[in-house]
Amino acid sequence: MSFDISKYREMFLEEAAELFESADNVLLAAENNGSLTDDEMGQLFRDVHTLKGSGASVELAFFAEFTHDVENLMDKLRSHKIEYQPEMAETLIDGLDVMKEILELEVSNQITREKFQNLTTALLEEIRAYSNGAVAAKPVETKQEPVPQDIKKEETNNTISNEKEHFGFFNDDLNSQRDRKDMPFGIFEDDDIDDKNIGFYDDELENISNNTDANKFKIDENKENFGFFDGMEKISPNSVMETNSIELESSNENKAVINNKEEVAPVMVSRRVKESSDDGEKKSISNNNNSIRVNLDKIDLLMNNVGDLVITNAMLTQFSSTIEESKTRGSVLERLELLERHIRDMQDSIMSIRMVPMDSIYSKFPKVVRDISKKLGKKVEFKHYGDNVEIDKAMIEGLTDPLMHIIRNSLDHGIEMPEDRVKSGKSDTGTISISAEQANGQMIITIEDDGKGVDSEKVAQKALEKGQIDENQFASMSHNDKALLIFGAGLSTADQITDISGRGVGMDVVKTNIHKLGGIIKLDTELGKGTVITIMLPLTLAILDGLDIRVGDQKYILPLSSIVESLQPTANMIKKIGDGTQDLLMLREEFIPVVKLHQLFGLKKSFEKLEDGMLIVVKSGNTKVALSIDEFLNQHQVVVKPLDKNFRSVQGIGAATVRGDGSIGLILDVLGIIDAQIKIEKDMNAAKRAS
Amino acid sequence: MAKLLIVDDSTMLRDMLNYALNEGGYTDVVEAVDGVDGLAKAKNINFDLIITDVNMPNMDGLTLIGELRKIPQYLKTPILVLTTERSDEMKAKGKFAGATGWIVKPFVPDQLLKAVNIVLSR
Repeated sequence: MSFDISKYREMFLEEAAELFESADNVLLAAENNGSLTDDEMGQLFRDVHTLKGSGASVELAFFAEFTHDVENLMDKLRSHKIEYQPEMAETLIDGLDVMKEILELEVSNQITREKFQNLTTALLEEIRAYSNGAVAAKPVETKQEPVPQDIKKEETNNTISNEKEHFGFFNDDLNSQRDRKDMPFGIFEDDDIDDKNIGFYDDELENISNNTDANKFKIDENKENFGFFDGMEKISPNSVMETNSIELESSNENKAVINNKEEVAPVMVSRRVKESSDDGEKKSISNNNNSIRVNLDKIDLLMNNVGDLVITNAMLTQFSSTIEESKTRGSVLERLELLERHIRDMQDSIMSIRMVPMDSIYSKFPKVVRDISKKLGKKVEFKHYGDNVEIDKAMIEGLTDPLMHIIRNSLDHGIEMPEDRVKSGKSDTGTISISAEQANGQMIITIEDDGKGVDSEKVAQKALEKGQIDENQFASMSHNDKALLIFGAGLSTADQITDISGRGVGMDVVKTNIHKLGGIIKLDTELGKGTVITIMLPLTLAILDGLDIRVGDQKYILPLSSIVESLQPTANMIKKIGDGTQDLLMLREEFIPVVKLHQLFGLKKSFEKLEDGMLIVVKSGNTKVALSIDEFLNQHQVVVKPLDKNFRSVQGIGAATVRGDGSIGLILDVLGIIDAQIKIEKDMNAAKRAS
Repeated sequence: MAKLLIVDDSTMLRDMLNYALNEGGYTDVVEAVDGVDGLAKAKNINFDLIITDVNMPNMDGLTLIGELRKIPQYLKTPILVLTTERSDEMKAKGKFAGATGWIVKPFVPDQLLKAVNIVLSR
C-alpha cells in the first residue's frame, strides 16, 4: 500500500501556508520587541517542526533537509540551550523565506542539488553558527541567568508532572529488577539500532495490573524494556535523519568560521539578560478544537441546494394560491410560510459557515509591510483592528489582492522617508492601519496611513492628459473625487517607477476587483496628513436583494444595492446630445447619461419616448447612469448562481438565478452596463472627431 | 472491531494515518487535533489503541500519554508515539511518559499496520 503523494502534497501546501504565516508573525513580533517569550518559541518550534515532519511525509526531501536546520536552531532556543538574540529574528525570517522558495521549487520539480546549495549555503552557515554559538555562550549564560530552573520548568511541561520523583524511583528500582529478566535502561541504549522505524517499549503492564499498588510510577518502572521488530527494512525517506549526522560534522568544520561569532556571543547574551526583564507576556492564540475543515465547494453545493428549496417553496406557494377551496388554501399557505421561515434560517446558518474572521486576511500583511519598508528604508508600524469581524470566505480571494495593493501603495507613495517625516513635524515612524467592521448590512474596511497624502491636482492633471476626464469634469470635481482618480488605469504620480508599485497598474486592479465583489471605494486625503481609503462591500456574494424590472418582453433583476433612485422623467428633463441617439437625464443640475437597455440587449422597443417609460438611476463607484426600462416589478431576495462558462458572456449580464416559477432570471451587472455606456460615448466622440 | 484514536495537529497526517489504517481494515478511527482534544475524546469513547504525535499545540503528546495513564481504563491500552526524531532521548521520553511503542515519521503504511497489528493482537 502506498500513498497518493500528489493529493497529500496539496493538503500539505495548504497547511504549510498557514504554518508559515503563523511562524512569520511570531518572528515579526519578535523582531519588533527584540524578545521572544517561551510560549512564542514553543509555537515557532511546533510550526517548523510540523513543516519538517509533514514535508518529509510527502517526500519533499530538500525542503525537509533545510527545514531540519531551522528547526534545530528553534529547538535549541526553545530548550534554552542557546539564548535568543534579537539578531536571530532576521536570520530566522530569512530561513522561512528560503523554506518557502525551496518548497515552491521542489513541488514544481524544479529543484536540483545545485540550486538547493545556492539557496541555502550562506544562510545555513549563519543558522548553524547560531546553533553552535551555544557552546561558547553557555558558560556565560549559566552564570548570569537561572537557566537550569527554566529548563526544569520546560521539561516538566513537556513530559509528565512528577519527573523528579520518577527519576528517583526509576534508579532505585533498577537493582530490584535485575533478578527479573528485564533489561535495564542502559542496555536498551546499547541495543538501539538506528534504522528502526517503529519499536515498542516491551511492556509488562500485565504484571503491574496484578500488583494492587499499581500507580503511575510502577507503570513507568515496568516499561524499562524495549522490544524491537527485527529484520525491518530501512525506510526510504531517511534524508532528514541523515542530515542530522552531516550537520554534526559540518558544525565542527564550521568552527573556524564561527570563532568570530563566539567572541561576540557573550556580549549579546549579557544584553539579552538586561532586556529579559521586560519580556512581554503575549498569549498565543489557542486553536479551536471543535472545528473541522470542509471544502468550500461542499458548502456552495449546500447553499445551492437550499437555493433550490427556496425555489421549490416559491413554486408550491404559487400553486397553492390557486387552490379553490379557501379553507384548505389558507391552511396550506400558512404552513408554507412556516416552511419558508425555516428555509431562511437554514440559509442563514449556512451563510455563517462560510464566514471566516478578517484575521485570515490580515495575517498576510505584517510580513509584506516589514519586507517593503525595509527595502525602502522607511519606518512603518502596521496596526490592524477588527480581527474577529467575519467575512464571506468567497470574498477573501478577491479582497486580499486589492488590500495588498493599497498597502503597498501606502508604503511606497504614502509614508515618507524617516528624515522627511521628522522635517514635517511627524514621528519618524509612519503608521498604516487597517480595520474592518460590519455596519448597515455592509462590510466596511478602512485602510489609513499618516503619510504625505495624495496630490489630487497632480492626479487629476495626469488623468486629464490621458483623456480619462475632460476639462469640465476637471473643473467641477471635488478634491477627493480627483484623488480617487488614482484608481483609474495607467495612472501613477510616482516620479520613479519602482518594483513595489508605481506602474499605475495596481490601483486600477483594486477598483476592478472591488467592483467585482459588488463593493465601492471611497478615498479621503489631505496633503501632508495622510490618506484614508474606505471599501464598502456586501456581506455576502451568495444572496442579494434584487428588483425585478421589465424591459420590452423580458424581465431582469437589478441588484438593489446599486440603485440610487427611480423616476418617471418629464420631457424637459431629457437632453439629446451628439447625433441625437444619446440622451442625458438632467436631474437636479446633474447630467446623467441614459442607457437604453432594450438597445443594449437588442430587444424590441415598446415605447418611443423616454418619458413613456421609467428611468432608474444606478451607481457603481462614482459613476452614475440612468437605465431606461418599461417598468419595475417586485423586490425579492435571489440566490446568485454564476453563469456557466459554456455561455458567451454578454456585457451587462452578471449572473443568473432561478425564479419562483422555475424560470431563469438574469441579474444585471451595473459595472458592465456603465462600461458599455462609456464605450458608446467614446466611439461617438471618435466619430465626431473623424468627421 | 478495534476502536482507534489518532492525535495529530496536522490534517494531512491525520488523513494519511486514517487512510493507511482504513486500508489495513481498521475503519473505526477517531481523529483529534491535539492533546486536549484527544484526552476529551478518550474520556468519552473507550479506545483500544491510541496513536499520537508528540509536538502539538495546547497539549503535547507526552503530556497526553501521562494524562491517559492516570485514567484506569487506559492503564493498559497500547499507545504508540509518532515522532520525527529517532534519538534515544526521544525514545526515553516516550517510554518515560508511558508509551507502548514508537513509530518514526514519515511512516510507511505497512509498517504502521504491522505495529498496530502487533499491539492489538497481544
